[in-house]
Amino acid sequence: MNDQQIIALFQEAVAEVDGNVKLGEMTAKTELASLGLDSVMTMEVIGVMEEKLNVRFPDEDLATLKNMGDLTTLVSRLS
Amino acid sequence: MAKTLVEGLAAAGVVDHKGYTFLDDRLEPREWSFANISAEADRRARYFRSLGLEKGDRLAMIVPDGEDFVLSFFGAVRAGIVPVPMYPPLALGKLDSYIDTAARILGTASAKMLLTTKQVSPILWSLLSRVDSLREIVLTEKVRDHDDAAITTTIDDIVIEPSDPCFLQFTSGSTSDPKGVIVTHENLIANANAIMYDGLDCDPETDRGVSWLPLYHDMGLIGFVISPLVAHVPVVFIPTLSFVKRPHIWLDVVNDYRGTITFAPNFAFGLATKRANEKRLAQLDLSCLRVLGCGAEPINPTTMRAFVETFAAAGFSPNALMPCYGMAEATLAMAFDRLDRPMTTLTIDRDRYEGDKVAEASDQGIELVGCGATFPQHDVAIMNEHGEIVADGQVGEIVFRGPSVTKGYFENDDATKALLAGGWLHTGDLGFKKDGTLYISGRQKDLVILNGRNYYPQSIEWEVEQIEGIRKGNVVAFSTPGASSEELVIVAETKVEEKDLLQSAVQRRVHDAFGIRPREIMLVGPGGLPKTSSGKLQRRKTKQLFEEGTLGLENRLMGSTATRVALARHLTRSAFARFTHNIKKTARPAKKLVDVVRRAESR
Repeated sequence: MNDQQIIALFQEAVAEVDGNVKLGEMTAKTELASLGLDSVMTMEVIGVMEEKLNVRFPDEDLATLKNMGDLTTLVSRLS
Repeated sequence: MAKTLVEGLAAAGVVDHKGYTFLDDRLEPREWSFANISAEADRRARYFRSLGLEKGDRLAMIVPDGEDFVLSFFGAVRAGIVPVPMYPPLALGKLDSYIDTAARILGTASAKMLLTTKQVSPILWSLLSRVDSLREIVLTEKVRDHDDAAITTTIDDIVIEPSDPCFLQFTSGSTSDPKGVIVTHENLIANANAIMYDGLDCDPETDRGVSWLPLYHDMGLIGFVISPLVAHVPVVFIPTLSFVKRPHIWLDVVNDYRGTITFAPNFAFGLATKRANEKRLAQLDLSCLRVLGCGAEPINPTTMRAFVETFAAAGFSPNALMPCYGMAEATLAMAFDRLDRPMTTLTIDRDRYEGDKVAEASDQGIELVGCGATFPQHDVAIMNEHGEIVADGQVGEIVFRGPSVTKGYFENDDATKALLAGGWLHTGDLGFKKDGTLYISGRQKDLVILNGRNYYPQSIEWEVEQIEGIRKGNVVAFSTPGASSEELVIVAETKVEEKDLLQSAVQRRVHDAFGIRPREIMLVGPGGLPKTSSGKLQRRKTKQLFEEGTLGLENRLMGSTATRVALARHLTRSAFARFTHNIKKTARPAKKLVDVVRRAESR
């Protein structure tokens, strides 16, 4: 799975959690904090991604995610 | 019947055919029979005692894992040590305020040791240098894996009286001035019996609880860890974070384990309804669910109805829905609705309520959910501002008395006197009784008083939530001193960029519904409103931040760089504290060095 596909999967997960969130253009540098998701929604999105990828993100790794690049790195490592 | 939780643990020692099931994030179960829990509590009690913890000493606990939390909690209780459950750090972006709050709680409780996990401990070491009473950080891994043969301490001589404190409950709302509610053994036994027998009419042979509630919170700890142990009712625990990630697993687990009793706050009902779909509903059979309790935050009738309608397709019985009312100062439960009826609501006239403090049934107005009645040996009443008990239908402060009421706040006589004045527990909540049912209409301290008229902030908030673009459950209304009288301020979270249009929509809606004009409508991004560790909105904190002009600033500043800086600072401080602590322990003469390091640290 390449980075573009992981970003697309993330966008799908956000849409599934809340269809009203408008995500703009996203790159590896896009900060997760800038997306307008609160903490419960962020965890829901992570949960949807885990189900789609059939992996579990360790809690200690989740706490250190800052931008999309960190997320794609984590996903590539786990899958 | 047990008179203390320690007697309850001993009685559970013979029950080996059922107990607690702890699920991990993949929902793989780990089983502990009540007999094994009881034996493990003894084992951990001996270990705690060998560390130098005596009866009455406070042991703070920051333990995210359910299994480790429960076994260590019971271990401490068995040794007469007083646990102080605290919430774990979840969001790194708020680490600064987390550490500040934790230090205040530890200081207020004069905690002697702090129990935590290896994974969390690196950021907590700095607390050792900030809290005078704190001598040691103990790791759960060591408690779990210690060598029994090396422990010579016994626990046979420890005598626990019903009036002894069992643990301290810090309420999640009080961050600046934390107060620890003293929960005694007799409080716990009284409330556990009220919950399990009077409220739930449980049958230990057929009932099974399911809970994802955090264990540092009263509903999770007393409702699902302590009370079921006393009554020998098995429980299945879901990790809280797993529920937040995948809300549907709550009811999946009820289905898979044929759960009969589960509880949650209002927001969880909304989350579960939102994530339900036909495919999932078709796989669920919730006909096993006898009681679905709702409490711990204001109950929104619209959210409840949506839940009941959605899950009817999965066999959920409307009678199972049970609104309830409680608070930490009453141990946990104060009133449960009846088991044999669906949720009841009452719509009262807004003018009569706000103007005359009378609850009068009406076609339209404020719709409130009935929370049933209190338990035998307990009284619930409504008191006016002159301290008089008022009649049915009159609105006033809800007061409560009975064996579940706390002795008071730990080492805080002033707050205790105010709480228990005149032999009643003053809840600070507003409500009324009608036809034997208790209705809660708001917090007394949060009441919005505009030009001599009382408005109930929840009714304003729920009105604003109806507006498209406003995030449900993320609206706060409060009053602030204005030029001539109090003025209304509304703060709401939104994802919408075009804030002007939304602002005028809020303005119009509030004017149409209440005939009042907010002085200010502030729209912030998601997460912009302060919330407690359990996700409740903090009205007073919001008001305070608004008045200081700093509302929403923390989140705006806490971008990724700021987060990294905060984390780095905490790790550095922690490393320092650990270093100085080890020096203190190993070499007394090194005190001078400690002083040097401390001075450097405080700069």
